[in-house]
Parts: sequence; structure tokens; C-alpha cells
Amino acid sequence: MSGIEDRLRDLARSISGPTDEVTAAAKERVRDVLGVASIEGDGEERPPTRRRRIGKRGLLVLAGAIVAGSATAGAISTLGGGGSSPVACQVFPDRGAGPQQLAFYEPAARVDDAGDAVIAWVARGGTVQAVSRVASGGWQAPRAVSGQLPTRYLPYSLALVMGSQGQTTLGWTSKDTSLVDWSPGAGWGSPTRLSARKADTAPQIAPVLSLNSRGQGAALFSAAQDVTYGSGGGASIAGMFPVLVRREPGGPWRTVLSLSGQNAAGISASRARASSWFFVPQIVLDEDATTSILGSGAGVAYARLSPGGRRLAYQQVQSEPGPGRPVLGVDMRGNALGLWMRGTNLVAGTLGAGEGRWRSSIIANPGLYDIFLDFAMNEEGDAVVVYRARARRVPGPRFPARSPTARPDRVIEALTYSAATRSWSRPTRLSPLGTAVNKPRVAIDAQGNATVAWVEGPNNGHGVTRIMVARGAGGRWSSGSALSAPAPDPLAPALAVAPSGRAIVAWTGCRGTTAAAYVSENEGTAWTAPRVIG
Amino acid sequence: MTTHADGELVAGALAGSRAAADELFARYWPSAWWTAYSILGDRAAADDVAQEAIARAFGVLERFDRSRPFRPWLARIVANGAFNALRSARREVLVAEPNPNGHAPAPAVAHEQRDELMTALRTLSDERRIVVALRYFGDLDTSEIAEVLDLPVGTVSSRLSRALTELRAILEVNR
Repeated sequence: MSGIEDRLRDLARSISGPTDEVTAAAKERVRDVLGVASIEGDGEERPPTRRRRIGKRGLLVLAGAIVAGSATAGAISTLGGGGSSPVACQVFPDRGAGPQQLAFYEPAARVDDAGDAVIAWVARGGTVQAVSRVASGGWQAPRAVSGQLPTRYLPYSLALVMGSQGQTTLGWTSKDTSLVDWSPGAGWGSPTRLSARKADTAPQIAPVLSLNSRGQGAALFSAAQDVTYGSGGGASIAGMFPVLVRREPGGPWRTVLSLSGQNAAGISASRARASSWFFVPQIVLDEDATTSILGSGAGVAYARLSPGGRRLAYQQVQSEPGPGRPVLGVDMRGNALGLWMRGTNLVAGTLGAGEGRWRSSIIANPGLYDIFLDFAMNEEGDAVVVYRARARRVPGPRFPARSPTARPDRVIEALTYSAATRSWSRPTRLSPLGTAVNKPRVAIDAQGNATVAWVEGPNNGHGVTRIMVARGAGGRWSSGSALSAPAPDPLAPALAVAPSGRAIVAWTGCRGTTAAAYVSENEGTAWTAPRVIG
Repeated sequence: MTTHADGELVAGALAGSRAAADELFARYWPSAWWTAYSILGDRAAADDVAQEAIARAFGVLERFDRSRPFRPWLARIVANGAFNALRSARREVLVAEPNPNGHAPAPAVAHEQRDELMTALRTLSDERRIVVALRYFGDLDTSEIAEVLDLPVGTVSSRLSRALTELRAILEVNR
């Protein structure tokens, strides 16, 4: 046997390993995720961060800070515009999480016409925290709405939906997926645990939630399974598959369908293939209680399911791979609008109510595969999409000094869709050239007026970062304006707009030497000064 | 020169030390790349998967149990990424590119012998080929392979033994 082993070792030695260029790029990515990366001209090592013990009364929040269970917990003070000079604080100093990681931890926000509002985030202490407000009242004290989550499995993001009467569902995935309800009258309920998962390296991706106007709800979440790879048994590796659950208003969640071993939309087709979906499919619970699903991966596929899970429609809308997570909206008349990627092109598809097939066309070329796509649609079918694009003619950072969030060769662009004319506007650049921008978020009101929020600045702890907003309608946009005081810390905005146009933006940042969660509101004219809510 | 333990490097990297992060990276990046290449058999795909996986691993470094060895932990993450990529690309043939990057093969292996061995490797089933590749290309021992593939050590050993026997038989038949 040694002869063949020697030959295999010789063969391995004859094959060259990774190239220097690939190695340098990988090294820079590692530095980025650890927060020890340097932006251009900065070769200094970040001073090691002292680990601090966090007592029960001092739970710094990932995307903000909160003091849970103390008399000062809910104190809301007005920070105003703050000073003009950046303040220094390190969010999550003892997690070892670098700024790049923090960018994954994002607050969530929702508001309705009456002013009922909910903002939620993940606290460093390992709980999901939320603040709520009933109509015109004040913000309540923040409270933990989850149990203690394993610190190794803190959610990366949250799912939050709110109905027209303020009824709200908040979802997260830690080692399991859980949902909890809030309503203006009853407050917060107890979390409902939907499933357990066992994959220890998969990101804690939030479930996908949808509510219709009748108060029915649907949720799509991932459950663990073992996927057998290769012929004849092969290696057993952990995989995830989506599960669709539904409920009637006020009722319990019930499993409708386990979408295991199927295609991009999770629905059996003639060539079913395990795990060919890569991204959590998007769902919309239609007014007639059917569920529309759009998934991407090896291709892009659409399906519509009856309330009981029976397949009513299926179409592979794109055979080419669809990098990134698609988005989907359905208006009150049943017209569907979806967006997905084809290479670096952004594709928009429409499926009119009663029509059998999607029509799609390329509406923009962001020049990137991963564009942080966000999308909003109102009941009339007007929609707006926002994404992060490559800025043409703007030089990027010199190789290998690359930091994903600090690239000046990126811009925020937006397009609007008119349901009346079934047409898209041309892409409009919202951010200035030559400035690093990240995390675009968009929302739309009943009149089709759009609001976009994003982060301007390197967002990696090495420069001034701030929250920007712009508003637009019909393809015309205001220039961006700053909501937050400049800060060196990473920020992530959460944006919500009620049908009436009432808007809130929540984000995290520094308050002195500790982190804080902020909110700013707009009831039609101007944005209020940031308020500390946690 | 001081050699830091993996756990110390992890702690240093988490505390913000670029030197610790760089040393940890330098220590295990080649292994990560070879693990990806062993499964995918394609340099470009291995470049992508290994970069993604090592960035992901360092992104969740706080989850690493410092009492355990780092390499199998990283290899498992890389292997999961590689298997996902493999499935998505529907790749069926591994160990490609007999002369990557224009590098000449080592004198110990003549072109003919080398191509013959490559061809023989391609004829193995996925489960056997990957075990062989992880052992000889990825330089993982059987216990590490077992951890990466989530298999009992005995299963890995038997697959490796059968694969080598099969390879030898193929090469003998071709003579």
C-alpha cells in the first residue's frame, strides 16, 4: 500500500496551493470580520479591548445598549443632535465581535397609522429586547421578550410584522426559531418555539413573516435535517430546509408544509433536488389566504400554495443561478412583483392576478452580486427598491487594503415602480460619490411616497459614521440628510413607515462611553431629534 | 521565537490583535484551502469557498471551544461550505487541472504517472475520493477526517483502505 500512498503524496506536492493573491484577499477578509482590518493608510493595530464583566443590571446591547431590570431601564431622554465630534464607545467589547460582525446585528421597527410602534434588537446579555408604544403614548420601558438565548447562537437579525391595528409578531432564530406577539391592548405574549435546529455553523437567520389584512399569519423558517451527500450514502452533513407554518387570527401556529428536498421555491418540480435553494425563500400571505413563495439558488422559482399547502401554481422564472435573496410583494388585487439577481443584473418580474406566467426584465445593473437588496410595496402595488451598487468611475481601495463596509466605490441607488403604468423608473443615486455607504433600508406609504435610510461612513470603527435618510416619490428623490450624530461605531438602521406616511428610523450608536438605541420620527414634515430608547 | 497555542491566538484575535489574527490565519489558511480543494477539485471554486469559509469561521471565532483543536473545527466549516458548493454546482468530477498555474509537477512524479493517478482518482466514488483527497491533499489524519465528515473513525479508515486498494487495482489493470 505504501507505493500508492507515496504516489498520492507526491501528487499532492506537485499541485501548488493557493496563490499569493488569493491568500492576501482571504487574509484581509479575516481581518475585516475580526475588526482588526486597516482602511487605507491605517496600518495601526487596534488596541486590544479589555473584557468587562457585565452584571445583571448592565446588559449592553449589540445594536444598542439597554439597562434591563433597573429603575433606569426605560428612561427616555433626548439626546438632540449631539455634539459634532464623534464619541468613542465600543459596542460589545467583551464578545470579541468586530465592527463587521456587529453590522449583522440589526434592530427591527414597525409603526402603524395610529402611532403604535415596536422596536426590537438583540441584547448582549443574550435576550431579544423590545420597546413598544401605544398610539400617541410614550415609549414603554424596554423589556426582554425572549428567554435567555445561548450566547453562541445570538440571532443575526429579527423579523417583525405589524398589522393595521397594531397587532405585531416578532420572530428570531437562535438554536431554535421562536415567535412572540404584541398588541396595543394585550402587550407582549409568551414566545412560541417553532423548531429546534442543530447546525452549529449556520448563521442565525430570522424567519420570514407575513400578515394579511384579515389577521392571518404565515411564517417560513429553517429546520435542521441531515442531507446525505454523494452516491451510496456518502457523508452525512447538516442541512436546513424550510418549513411553512400558518395560523388564523389569534390561533396557534400550525405546520402546513415541510419543504424538504425540493427546489428553489421549496416546491416539488419534475427535477427535485435536495438543498438546491441557498437562501431563505420569501413568502407573502395573500388576501385569499394563499401563500406566494419566491426562492432563489440554482435558479429562481415561484410557487403559490393553498391554505392547506397544496400547490396551485409553480414556475421556474429563471434557470440561471440567482445570487442573493429575492424579494416578493403582492398587492391587494393579487398582482405579484418580485426581484432577484441574474449575475450582477437586477431583474424585476411581474405576475398579474389571474395570469399564468411571470414576465421579467433587467431593470438595473448594480455591478455586484451581493447588493443588500431591500424592497417595499404598498397595497396599491406601488413599490420601491433600494440597493448598494458599484460606483462607476470611482476608484476602490488599493488592494489588499479592503474593508467591505469602507469602500468608497459604492453608492445607494433606488428605483420606484408604478402599479398604474406597470413601469419602473430609472435608477437614482441617493448617496454622494466617493463615500462609503451600507445597509440601505426602504419603506413606502399608501400614497407611494418612499423613505430610504442607510449608513454613511466606513461603519467599521475607523471613521465617522452616520445614519442618512432620503424621501422620494415617482422617481424623484430628496437629497440625503443626516439623522444621527457622527460616531465612530458601526450602525445599522431599522426603518418603518405606516400607510399614512408616519415614519420611524431606529439605530444604534454611542452615548458617552456606552452603546444606545435611538429613534427618530417623521409625521410628515421633519425628522425629530434622536431619542434614546434603550 | 515564541510559539503561541491556538487558544492563545484565538483569544488574541478576539481581543483585537491583528498579529494574533494574522498568525492564526497563516497557520491554518493552507489547510483550509486544501480541504476545499480536496472536496471540490477545482482551484477557482476552492479559492472562493476557502475564502468564504475562513472569513465565516473567524467571524464566529467566539464560538470556538478553545480546549479543542482548531484545525478540525475550521476544516468542518470549510467542508460544509465545499459540500454546499459542490451540490450547487452539481460537480461530479474532482481532482481537476493536472497542471495548475503552470507549475511543473515535481520530478518525483512523471507526467504520465501523474495523469494516470489523476484519472484513477476520478473513477473513485465521491465518498472514497473525498476521503483520499482530505488525507493526502488536505493532510488531515483519520480522526480529523472523521470529524470533518461527521463519520466514525472506523468508517473513515475502512473507506480510505478500500480506496487505496481500488486505486492500486486500477493502476495495475492499466499496466
